[in-house]
Amino acid sequence: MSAIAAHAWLDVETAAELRALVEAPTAQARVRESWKYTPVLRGLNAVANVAATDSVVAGAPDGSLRVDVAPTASEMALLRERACACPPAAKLLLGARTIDRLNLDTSPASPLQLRALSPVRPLVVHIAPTVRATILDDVDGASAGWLLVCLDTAADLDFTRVRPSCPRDEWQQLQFDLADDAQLIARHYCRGAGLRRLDALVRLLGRNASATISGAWRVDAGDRLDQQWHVEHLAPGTRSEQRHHGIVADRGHTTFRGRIYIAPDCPGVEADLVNRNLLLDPGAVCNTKPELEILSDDVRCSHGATVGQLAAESLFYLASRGLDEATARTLLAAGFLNECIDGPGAETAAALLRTETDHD
Amino acid sequence: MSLIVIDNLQASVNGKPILKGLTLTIEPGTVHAIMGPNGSGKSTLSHVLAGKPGYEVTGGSVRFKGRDLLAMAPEERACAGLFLAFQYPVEIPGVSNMEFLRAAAEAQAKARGETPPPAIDMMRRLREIATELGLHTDFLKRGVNEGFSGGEKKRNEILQMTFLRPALSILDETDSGLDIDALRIVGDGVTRFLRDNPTHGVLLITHYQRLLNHIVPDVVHVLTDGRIIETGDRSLALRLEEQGYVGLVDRT
Repeated sequence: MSAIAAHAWLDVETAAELRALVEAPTAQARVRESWKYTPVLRGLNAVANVAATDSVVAGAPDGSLRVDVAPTASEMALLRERACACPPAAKLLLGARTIDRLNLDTSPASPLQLRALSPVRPLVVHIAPTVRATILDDVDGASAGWLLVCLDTAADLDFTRVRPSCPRDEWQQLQFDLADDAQLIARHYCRGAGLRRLDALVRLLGRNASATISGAWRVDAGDRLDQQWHVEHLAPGTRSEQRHHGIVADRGHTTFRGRIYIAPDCPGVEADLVNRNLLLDPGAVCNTKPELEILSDDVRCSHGATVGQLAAESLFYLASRGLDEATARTLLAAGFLNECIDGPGAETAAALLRTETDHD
Repeated sequence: MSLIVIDNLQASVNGKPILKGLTLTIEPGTVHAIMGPNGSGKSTLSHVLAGKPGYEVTGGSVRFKGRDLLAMAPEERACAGLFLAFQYPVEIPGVSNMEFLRAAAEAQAKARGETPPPAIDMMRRLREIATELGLHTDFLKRGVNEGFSGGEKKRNEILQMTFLRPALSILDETDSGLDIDALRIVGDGVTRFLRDNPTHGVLLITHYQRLLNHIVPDVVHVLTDGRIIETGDRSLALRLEEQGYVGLVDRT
């Protein structure tokens, strides 16, 4: 912890609170629950104290990206709130002096590509009212990364993250805040890593905001993937739909927690969550936990999770057409993930998830 | 050489005997129909021939184009030219019809030591067949049987058969769940395939005579309690329709 210096831009109380979280990480119940299947110390260690590199966004309109800038008071409040719930986020914020910021005030003509995400500074993206944007985030591995996207009224974001396998440990924070009528499509396609931990939060803060989230992953060769998806409905008429399909092969290990929270006085909310998992080999491990926390009347919710194997019926159907077992299994596994794959990164994602891990 | 020679075939499911000595020979270019009441063993026969796991062959033999069929894995049987049109085709979400059939054609060509046709030719051929069967070509891009109606699933089986050009097709109650128009389309599809592939053999498994109005059989067999109890020409099917299985079983 010696590398963490006290920074003037954090008030004393916040710094003390964050430091307590980093130094006694499991003291809080919500931290224990969130890190039940992954050692929190490993998550903390994944936040490397490396030299700052800048976030790079290809195709960003001139002047829209500013790196190494001081956060505004409202940005600081958001980051602080988030950091207080998650030890690696607390550690990153203690170590960060500044943030990177992307302001999208007009709709970019073409998709933006996130080429690098600073491992030590949060990247905060502001999407102005009614602006439509597409962001493809296929950064090739970062040991830490914190992306916070604020969608203003009726803004529209199509976001795709694609992550190849990587032998290192990695911790990532992903947050989307949606104002009235904002719309988000978020896709998350990845392989495993030594440890790949994702803390994702989608907050539907404004009326009729909606989020469509899909995920597909394949984890093998002893890799780990731990995803925590929190979707919070904080306004009436908000909608969320999630479908996540995961394959665990070899000695892979995955954890998926999908929590839907509906705040009091939010009628008309619709929320659905599906997580399906295929275990391909006897050594594969999968933990999944869909959760609903509903504090409002007049809402419609569904959530479910399955863990299974390739269906014998399907394998026989393919065999009856001449496909040997290995080919049939490959085709069925790819099909299972394809159900969750679409959008601008679809081809890259499908190719990424088809092959076996090559780093060991 | 006969296409398939089934000799005194006996098979059990979960220790219960279902086929109790079934004998049947199909020559190239002929259409055989097997009719029989529920529980007579019709679907068991199709599953045993295709190699579905869960069936135990307890006696008899099956030679397919001179080879010991029962010693072959299901995919080897398919590659050797045996095709089963499923009574309940399986849905494979996420795998498109096109991708599936291309993989199947490539696997079969490889097993036979042939070079598979170029992808573009396969796609053209699949579009042709789909159109003949009254299926929109978008159908080829959809997941295999995913969200298809009962009739579409059955037509998809015929599409696969036409594309893969097997030597022997077993149509397992392909008429079940079809309305009159779909029945005609399927019947026409099979007839067209037979015309284009004159040495092809067909084993039609059905409850009802009506499919035989569209696909005219050369030989009709009646299966009850795991054995063929009567064999005749097409008039046997018509007689069955009139008298029912009960009348026939009582007489024998």
